[in-house]
Amino acid sequence: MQGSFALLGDLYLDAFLGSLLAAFLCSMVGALLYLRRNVFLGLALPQAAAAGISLDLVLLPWWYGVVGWGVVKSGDHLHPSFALHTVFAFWAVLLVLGILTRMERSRRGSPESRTAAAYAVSLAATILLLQNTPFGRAFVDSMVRGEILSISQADLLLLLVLTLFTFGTLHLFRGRILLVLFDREAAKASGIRPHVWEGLVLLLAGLAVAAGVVTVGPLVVFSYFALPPPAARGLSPSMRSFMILSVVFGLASTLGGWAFSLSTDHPLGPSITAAGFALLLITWALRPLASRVVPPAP
Amino acid sequence: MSSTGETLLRMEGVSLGYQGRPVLSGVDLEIRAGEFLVILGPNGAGKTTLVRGVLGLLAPMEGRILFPREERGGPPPSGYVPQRESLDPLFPFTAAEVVEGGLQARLKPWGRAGTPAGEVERCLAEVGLRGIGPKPFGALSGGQRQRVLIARALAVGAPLLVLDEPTAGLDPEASERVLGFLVRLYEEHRLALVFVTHLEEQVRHRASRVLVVNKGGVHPAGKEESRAG
Repeated sequence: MQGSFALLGDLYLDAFLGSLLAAFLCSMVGALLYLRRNVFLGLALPQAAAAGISLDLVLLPWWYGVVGWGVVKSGDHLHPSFALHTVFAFWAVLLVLGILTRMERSRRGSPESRTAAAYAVSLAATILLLQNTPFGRAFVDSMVRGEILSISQADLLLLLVLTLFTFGTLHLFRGRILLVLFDREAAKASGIRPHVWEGLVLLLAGLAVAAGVVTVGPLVVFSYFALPPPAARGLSPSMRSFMILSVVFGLASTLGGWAFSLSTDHPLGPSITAAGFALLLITWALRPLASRVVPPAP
Repeated sequence: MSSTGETLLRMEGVSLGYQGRPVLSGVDLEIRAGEFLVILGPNGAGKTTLVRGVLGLLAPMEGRILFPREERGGPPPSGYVPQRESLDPLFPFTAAEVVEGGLQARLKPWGRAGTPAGEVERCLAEVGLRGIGPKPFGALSGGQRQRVLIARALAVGAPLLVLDEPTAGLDPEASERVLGFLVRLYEEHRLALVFVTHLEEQVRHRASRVLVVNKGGVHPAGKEESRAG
């Protein structure tokens, strides 16, 4: 087991740091989606990102010939870079968010049915796009399992920049963003333009999902959206502590997932999810102790 | 705040509704600075629809809404106290964090620059809740929560305060306390107060003007009394 952990410093350090950054980024944004009672977006958007990544795998030879940017060539093989994956994933997520927002404004279907349809269509698109690309199928299969063994220092730097940008933006504008999410009408009555801040939240969600899916895969991104926020909610007496605890639990589930994965040789993605679920159970057990200062979560 | 009598808002032949179906039609209404306007009406009559029109949350289907004091013609910033059940208890705000929401309209988008120190505490003290800031909003009593929302509306710093059924769901004692604070705030700050309720006996005698929303229209009720003095 000690040998397994030694690998962390040698082989997996960049992947380890990448997964921590993805945990930070996705838990932070996931907390906002949880408050919007829209956590199932965390299922549909990562799948949309996977469809976007599949598209860039299908287009790879054409893309390399025409554009060239973002493609790594090793020997006879072409590989999309982290940046190219992120760009395609981001646009796919933005496209789905745009369609969902338009449907919401025209009151078509219920929120659940719209999100479920987005998930189903994105999954189908992923499968269809990968039909004729064996390399792509293998890549997406490892992505779904959350195997993040190949992340370069440049990828890591890009992920760090995205994480800092998202953190900085949320920190600077948190007052207006939270007011708009909590009480849209009071915000608008007081002269604030809600659609600007809602749009910003969706943009940040798109960035977080795209970068998160490329780094740790859709399963882990969804688990960052679905598990740390409810765990944090039960122990948080304030919004500030809720946001901090969501991130802390996201990071803790990542550390726990790595420890479990390395010590038992299980895939990393499901291990992170299992650790996140274990943390959620622990926080539920602790709720009675916290109930003196925290009102019961609905 | 404002000199009494100046028109803040004027509705001329306005129809308000949803998805092409009017709820209220032919509404002529003027709201003046410094008046205590009570809007009465049974449940489902369209009181909240009228409030949404006043606040600029709902565009008129017919007629026009004028804001004479506003150079750009759009609705001015207003303090708004919504019905309590419209707020999601999932948000783990403290009382102070709720009031900070009201200050956002006065701040630069990116933070607290320009906020007088202790502004949140001052707004809480205005509604008799000094020192309650760190407590979770969800752990407060119904009456306290309502007063925190009034403090948030005060924090906007606007000349118009609109309260939609602020005493709904409160016991008589808590209702009376909330009303007492509102009357005191009205008298001290000379705010224009629009108070929506279906409980006539609570507020009629305190109002400077009473309107009734019923049967798809808005009608004056009784004579205007000059409580404002």
